[in-house]
Amino acid sequence: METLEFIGLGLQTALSPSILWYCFVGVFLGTLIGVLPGIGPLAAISLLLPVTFYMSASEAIVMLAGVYYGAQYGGSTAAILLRLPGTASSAVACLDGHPMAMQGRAGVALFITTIASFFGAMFGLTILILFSPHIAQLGLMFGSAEYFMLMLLGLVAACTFSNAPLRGGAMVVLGLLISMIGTDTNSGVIRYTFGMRELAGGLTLVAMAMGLFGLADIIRNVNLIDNSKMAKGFTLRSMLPNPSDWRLSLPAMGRGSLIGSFFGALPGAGTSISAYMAYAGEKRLARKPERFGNGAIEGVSAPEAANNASAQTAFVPTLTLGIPGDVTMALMLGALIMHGITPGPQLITTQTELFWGLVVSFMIGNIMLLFLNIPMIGIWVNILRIPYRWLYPAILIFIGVGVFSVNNSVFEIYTVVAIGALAYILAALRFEPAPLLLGFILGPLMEEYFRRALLLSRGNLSTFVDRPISFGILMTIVALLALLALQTWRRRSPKTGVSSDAP
Amino acid sequence: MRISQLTLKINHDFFGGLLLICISGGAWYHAQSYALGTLNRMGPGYLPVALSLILGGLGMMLLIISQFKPAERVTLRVVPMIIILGSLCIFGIMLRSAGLFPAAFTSVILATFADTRITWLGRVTLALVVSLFTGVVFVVGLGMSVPLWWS
Repeated sequence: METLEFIGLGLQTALSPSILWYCFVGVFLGTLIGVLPGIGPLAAISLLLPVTFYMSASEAIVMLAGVYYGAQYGGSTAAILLRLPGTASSAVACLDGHPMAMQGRAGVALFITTIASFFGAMFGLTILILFSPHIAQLGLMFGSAEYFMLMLLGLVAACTFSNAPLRGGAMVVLGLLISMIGTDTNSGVIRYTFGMRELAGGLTLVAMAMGLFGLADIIRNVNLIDNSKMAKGFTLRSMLPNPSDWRLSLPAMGRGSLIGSFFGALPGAGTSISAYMAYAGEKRLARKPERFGNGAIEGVSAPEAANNASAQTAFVPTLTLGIPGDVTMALMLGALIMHGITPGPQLITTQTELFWGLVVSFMIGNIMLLFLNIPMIGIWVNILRIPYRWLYPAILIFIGVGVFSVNNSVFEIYTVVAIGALAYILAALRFEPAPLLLGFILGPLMEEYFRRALLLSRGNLSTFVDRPISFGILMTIVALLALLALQTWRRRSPKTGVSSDAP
Repeated sequence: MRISQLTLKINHDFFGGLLLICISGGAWYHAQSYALGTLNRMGPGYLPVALSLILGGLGMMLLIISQFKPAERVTLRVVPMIIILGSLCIFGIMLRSAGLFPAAFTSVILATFADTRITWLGRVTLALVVSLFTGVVFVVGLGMSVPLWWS
């Protein structure tokens, strides 16, 4: 009953004209950048961060979140029609979506992905509504030691789930080290500024995010993306799936949503992993696994439901504990902090309207997306034809103007150039930028909690072991690391296949 | 197509590890001037030293692993990188002195050289559209304090 009251309260906030407008802008832009190959939701959110300075906190988060989950809808369009994943998490949709398009069933694939996305998102939202208040209650019992441990768990999990754990770990540590640049909050000592006083405040989140994702992506994609070879056209009528499509898809959507909701709420997992897990699960369940890769419709609906469900449940740890599960959530957390709101267990009680307004606006946003993606699919297909060479110079200028506007300083433009160069070189050596940004954002928070925990225990490290919850999390971290070691060891021995039973 | 990239057959684990060790070495060296403190009262140098040691350790591990792996092709797109980063630098240099419109126009023109298929007509049109659009959105719309033109 109480939940319904809160949803009513959320409706009041979410239905205010400005929130509705920014919700629409968010999901619209999200679908757009999801459709366009070469620009991911991370780059788009980083580009929009400076714009949110001109908005209220709820407007900002509603819009940024709209970009995030909207991109999950749009991402599959490019994947199906061009075999170019618009977002990382829709790479799975290429596997069976593109064969479907080649068989002349592009319309059906696009229709099913939208329905699956909506189904998954609503499922994830239900989980978010039901569980968030309880997790926040649990979070109230946490002290600094627990928070530090949870963040450490998030970082370790992010490395474990990435395809090269050792490299992921190195990037996290590098991110933590980069977050040390600037004035130390405890002693006032200025670290790693190399005599540049503009660096005394540290590197800004906007410059880091834009350099790591915006600039490095342009350098990687320019002159390479070819979207001239589009699958055959289709009519609206050809989009309707036949009964056997429905019979195969609906249970797959349910399973995908469950998998996605679970992995989304875990720290460190995220949408791509959810989609892969759902796909692998369907393939194992199927009576004829050989259909997969040749246009099996479950191979499209399950991962799409999964990545959308996880895009919603990813907000659970972020909003209730202040611990972001992946980089996008870390950016959301950064945006909240920039607006003077500290996410944590108190958020639901102190910022009741913000929290429930957000949740309800997610629902409204998903309904908008349903309309944006089914009747208006023709528009997106045409947008898909825009060549990348028309887009990247505009993105480049937005990056320049965006970082400049943070402090009205040209220096920021040069920092983003430097970060972009570093990010590109790291990417060429096959290091992933996401764990680096995660480390950068969590670094200062972790340092603060670590110091506070040790101050309270008078420098005794045993505080992390003596407190039962902290000890439990520590054991989880140890288990994860052990699992990782086991997996690496098994991969070395040629007998067993590649990580068949990994979580 | 022009030769715009460098494809090297190198061991990316080896060079990756080497890069990490160099970064950690620099970070460790710089941190020597910050007070270490104790675990109880950590000085400003405590975490930088600890983190650079961990990073160095991870770099060493990569370096060791690299000895068991064959070399692979690593592509470094040098020319696109220089063009993209260079045009953003030009944007920064021109922004205050020349104004937003000329800065955006010039750097879009420069940036388009990273693509080999664009024509001069396309270049100029794109530069005009992008610079007008940014001017309208950021200066007129959002009220950013930067001159549109030089005066």
